[in-house]
Amino acid sequence: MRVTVRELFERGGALLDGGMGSMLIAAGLQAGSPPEEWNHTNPDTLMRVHASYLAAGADVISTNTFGATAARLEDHGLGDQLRSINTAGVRLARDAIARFRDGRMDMSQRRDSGDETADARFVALSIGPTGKMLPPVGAASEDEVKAEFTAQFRSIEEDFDLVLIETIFDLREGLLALEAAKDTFPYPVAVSLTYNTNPRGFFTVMGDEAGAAVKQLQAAGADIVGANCSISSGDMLALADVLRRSTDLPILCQPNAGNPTVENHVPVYGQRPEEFAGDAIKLFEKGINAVGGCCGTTPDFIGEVSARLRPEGAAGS
Amino acid sequence: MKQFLNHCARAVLEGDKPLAADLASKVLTERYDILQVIEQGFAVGIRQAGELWKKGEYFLPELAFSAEAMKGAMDVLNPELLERADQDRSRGVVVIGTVQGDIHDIGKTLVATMLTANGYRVIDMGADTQHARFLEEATKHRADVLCLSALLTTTMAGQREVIELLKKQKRRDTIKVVIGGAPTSAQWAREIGADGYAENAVEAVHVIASLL
Repeated sequence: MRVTVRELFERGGALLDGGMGSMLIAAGLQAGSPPEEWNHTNPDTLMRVHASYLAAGADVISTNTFGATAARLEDHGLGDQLRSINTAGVRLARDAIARFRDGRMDMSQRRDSGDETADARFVALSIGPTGKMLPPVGAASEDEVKAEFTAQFRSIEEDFDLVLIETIFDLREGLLALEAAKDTFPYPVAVSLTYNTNPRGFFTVMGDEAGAAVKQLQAAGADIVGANCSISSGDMLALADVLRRSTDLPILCQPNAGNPTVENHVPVYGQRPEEFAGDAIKLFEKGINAVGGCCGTTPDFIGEVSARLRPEGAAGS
Repeated sequence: MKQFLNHCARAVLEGDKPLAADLASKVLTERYDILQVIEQGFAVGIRQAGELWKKGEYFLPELAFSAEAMKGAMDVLNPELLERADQDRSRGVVVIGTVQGDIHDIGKTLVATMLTANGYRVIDMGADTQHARFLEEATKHRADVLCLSALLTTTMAGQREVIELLKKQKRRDTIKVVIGGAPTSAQWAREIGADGYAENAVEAVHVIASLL
């Protein structure tokens, strides 16, 4: 029987994908223009990036929809494409998995082993912050923020497997997104916040402490909790301890490829995949259920983790 | 007086807007030295909030509350300051803002406050200001100085771009450009051809005074 996405996280050792933005920039996306537009203009590139992560061993790939709320698309004059951009984002990920599976099934060894159902791959809908700040930092109301998420969710006309609310820096926004997701979808919902290191522990820029935050998210019905972005894999190790002792829910961690330097006003992530992968294995040893990468990570990073996690070579070759 | 100044700093540090406004009213009724109360009272509260941010004890909401309390005080004091600036025929006109793509504004607002307190007429463009808008407002108000703030390494290039735009429009020598913000420096100012760099709001007043 095919493993469900819930089971994938509960049993642990799950691999998520790596960064999408930097992959698209490497393929020619202009800095400052919205990556989500490429769901329409450059679908082949999207398919290639998804395929690379699947081949590297990612169990879950994330859709190119992170910044695709109505408000943020409107900033780029794409407000009228909310539905089509989000739907295309999901469809591209699903098609990439179907194509990957077809490719795998062509390999006669795979077929004979009867392993095709064991190699389940999943689509996570990637949802980022709305850009509207709640008081006192901004002037948006909770209703407004929740409505942004609901509008993005309702615009999607394709099935997927998991809602991945990520890079959230205000716990209140995470809770609103969780609520909107539960109102709209039957899928499990993961909420991943982004924390900075601090002499006093791990906090979001709004002052949400990591341990307290995941407890609140669990109480509010999150199926999976986690942390992504802002910090390196090394710093993520200490954060993982905080998260693991604060909840019994499955936890995901997606660090950046090191702490960036700035060259020509652009952040540059210089960590090597080998170091990232070493830390990733330690994260799994700490009881983290799923590991992926955020800014600066590439299929090589995920491949390196996969090679160490599954030495028998369960990743695609 | 020292105790009064401490009260002012504390009101801002603790984000107590009503108290800050009350204290500001007292400054006017008691005819205290407005400049002194801003520099050694209210603004000290903002600096202390900045120190707590660095220590990881204050987060964005606390900074926002402090900035609001400062604004509460300045809303009371500004009419008096503006009247005086007109009477002194103003030491100069300054257009200030945070560059495009950057939403940070607390430091920039503090510089605007200090300049106003020191007799300059200040046009505050707010945060995330398009390059062209800086130039438009500078033209409209016949500004003597353009102050550009950037808080991110990824947005500070905007300071260079505004200067380039001035050059392109053959207006570079019609206005002084002063820059500031955490990732910037005197070296960066030299590199981009700015006329001055200020590390904090008090220094900004000195730099501008020496340029005009």
